[in-house]
Amino acid sequence: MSAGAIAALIAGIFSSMGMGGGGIMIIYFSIFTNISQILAQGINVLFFIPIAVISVVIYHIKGMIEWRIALPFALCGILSSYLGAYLATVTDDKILSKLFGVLLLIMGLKQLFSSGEKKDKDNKKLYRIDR
Amino acid sequence: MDKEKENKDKDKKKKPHSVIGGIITGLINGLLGAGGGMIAIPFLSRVTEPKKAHATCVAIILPMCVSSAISYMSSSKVTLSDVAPYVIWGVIGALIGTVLLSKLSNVFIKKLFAVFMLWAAARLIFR
Repeated sequence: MSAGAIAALIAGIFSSMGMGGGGIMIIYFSIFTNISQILAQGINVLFFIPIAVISVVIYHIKGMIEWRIALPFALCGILSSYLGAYLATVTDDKILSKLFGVLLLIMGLKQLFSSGEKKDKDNKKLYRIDR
Repeated sequence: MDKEKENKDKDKKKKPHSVIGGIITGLINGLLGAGGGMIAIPFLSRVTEPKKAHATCVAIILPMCVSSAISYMSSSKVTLSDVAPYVIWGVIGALIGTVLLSKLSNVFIKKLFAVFMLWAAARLIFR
């Protein structure tokens, strides 16, 4: 098993859980290979599609997807994600990889300092009030 | 009747989040090819329970990635053969991940992943 296969396997696990697995592939490319940031991002976007299709089917069967929330949310993002991708293709690769670094930094700090269990409890409380 | 009205009120409350959240999530996910989920989750966590938020998040990111992929491919920044070697491993990972999510809430994994991201962030920023 190559490093790429291991990265893809781990990325598949985290991606399907909606836990930022996309970052893993790009991190792998930036550490173990010399390909450009834009190619890494392009691969990651394509890579996520079959994973998401399978995950969505499984979660839908399990009744875990709130389509009433998902549909408007996704619709609002389709246009801006096309625009974002276009911006990426015209942005300098060095700037892009630094921007990605900043994103990882924010994501990492957020995840490190938010206590998962406490947050889960808070969310459950919120959810109950909401209901 | 009352319940229906209540649901409508709830929808009204949710819509602004969907618009702002959707636009920001899409923009970041398109621009950086990842990270959309991390932005969507806090928005989703306000209106549903954590596990459903993560599952719903995947459903949201899927159409966004399709839209970004069309953009990336039309400017020939990436081709299908670039991604081919990774797809099968990713799919196996997805099958594991969907089972794991039902048994989630592992703080240790979260922290480990956080440290991993910070290390990669430092590398990308200072290289």
